[in-house]
Amino acid sequence: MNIQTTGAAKAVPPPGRGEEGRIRVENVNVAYGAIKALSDVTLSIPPRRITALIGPSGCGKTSLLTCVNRLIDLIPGANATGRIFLRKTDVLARDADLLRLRKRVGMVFQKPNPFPFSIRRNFDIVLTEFGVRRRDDREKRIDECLRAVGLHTEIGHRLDMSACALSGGQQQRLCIARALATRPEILLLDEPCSALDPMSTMTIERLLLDLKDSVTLVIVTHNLSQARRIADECALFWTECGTGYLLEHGTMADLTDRPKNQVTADYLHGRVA
Amino acid sequence: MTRNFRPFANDFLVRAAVAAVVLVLAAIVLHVVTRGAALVTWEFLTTAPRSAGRAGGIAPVLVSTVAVTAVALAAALPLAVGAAVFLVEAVRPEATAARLTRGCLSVLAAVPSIVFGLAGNMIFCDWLGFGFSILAGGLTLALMILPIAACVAETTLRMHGEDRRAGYALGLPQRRIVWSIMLPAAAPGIFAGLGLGFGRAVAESAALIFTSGYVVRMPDSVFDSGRTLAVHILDLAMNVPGGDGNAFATATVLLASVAAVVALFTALDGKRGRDFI
Repeated sequence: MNIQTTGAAKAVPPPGRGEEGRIRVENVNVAYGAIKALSDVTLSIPPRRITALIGPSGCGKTSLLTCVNRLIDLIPGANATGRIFLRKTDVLARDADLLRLRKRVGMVFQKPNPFPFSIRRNFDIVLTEFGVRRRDDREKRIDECLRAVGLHTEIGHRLDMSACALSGGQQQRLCIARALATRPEILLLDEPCSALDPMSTMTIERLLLDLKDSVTLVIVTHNLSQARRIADECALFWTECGTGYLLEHGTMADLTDRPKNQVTADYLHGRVA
Repeated sequence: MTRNFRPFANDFLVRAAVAAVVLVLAAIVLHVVTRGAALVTWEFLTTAPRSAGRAGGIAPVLVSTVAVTAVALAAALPLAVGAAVFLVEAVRPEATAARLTRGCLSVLAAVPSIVFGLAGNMIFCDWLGFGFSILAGGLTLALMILPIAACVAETTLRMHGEDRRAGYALGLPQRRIVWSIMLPAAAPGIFAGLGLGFGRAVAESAALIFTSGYVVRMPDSVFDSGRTLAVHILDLAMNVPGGDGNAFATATVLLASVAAVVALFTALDGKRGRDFI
């Protein structure tokens, strides 16, 4: 599949340069009750790049992802230790400001999950909470977000229709647009295309390539071709006795062409599942 | 999907079960309506009973019924929603408080209505000093509706777990997620639960005899005693020789109003459901 950028994402103003958007993961362990899911992961995710987290099911990719925005707190019995730094803030610290954190770190899920209201209300709930009180300002922000995901021509004039009436691909782009409404530095994507058809998948991949100029993107995917198409960096997770760990991390080219590990070479060439 | 269910459509047991459900309802409706429908006139609905209900209409009874159910639904709604939000948002499912709350709701659901009547009489009529009144009756019914309304509300809120997670992922505070996302999304289900509760409330007689009483005159306020349709039917059938005709007429009105309310709630639920799913 040939991916070309559309340039649509330029509407979202890029945040300041520098370390903003870098994620430093240090010795992170995750356990669900007595079951250890992820062991001692240390990883630096570069800003404004696409980093793919790949590996077989149950190796802790999603667990790591949900540590970054502390959504893991919603799972009863889950426990994450170690440190994850966004700039100088340790997000795993007990006193971390979760609302502020999640505003900085957006997330898109496997299944599109627009709120069951109108498209406009999907944004209004978020925008009014974050202080965009004037209707005109909200309209502008909605337009900006829809432009960023290339939806403004498709639904920009139908903001009062139910978000659930959109197609799966449109719903997923709407969810990305809604996540962009808080102007995050980082966007976490948990298999965002696994429920979508190939055409919608291509649209989203294009969109992610557009977005990476302004936002750090971390995508969990089972689709190795997708990782090759869009990822700059790649982290391969593996599992041993039910506990996941980071096997190898590097640029996509490093992992594909110069793997340090035989398992990496086999996995990326489809020789082990 | 449909194909998977087809084989059951031919199953004798399934057909027999459907036939039984339809026939039972049809028998009740026929029995009541054939005897009562002819007596239901505009005059019957708008005049007061005479001669202990043998003659005249049911106007004050209708008013009392509307008032009692309105009090019951108004009191049950916040309690049920509050309990459901508590169970979904404030406590973990295995926490003692959650198990205690669920246990209490299950026991409440199994309490016989006559016991509700006696308890309501003690709490609302005596201790709180409301006497035999529409308020005391409505509040007693609210406690009876509470388990089913809370259970349906909790189930509906849990069905919107994805929306809840999406809200948290966006950095929204809990109150915002509850008020702006989960409750509006779950509203159709919550009202459907309340609709089920309404069915129970409007058909109740035992709990009301001891709480709202059976005075048959037009109530001036919620502090007046008032007789509901179900109590009126019971009284005409049991205590008033020659009251059968009006008992059936009153039952016809009761059935018709339950059907109308159920249809209304179903229509609301169905309409919202189509938009949302």
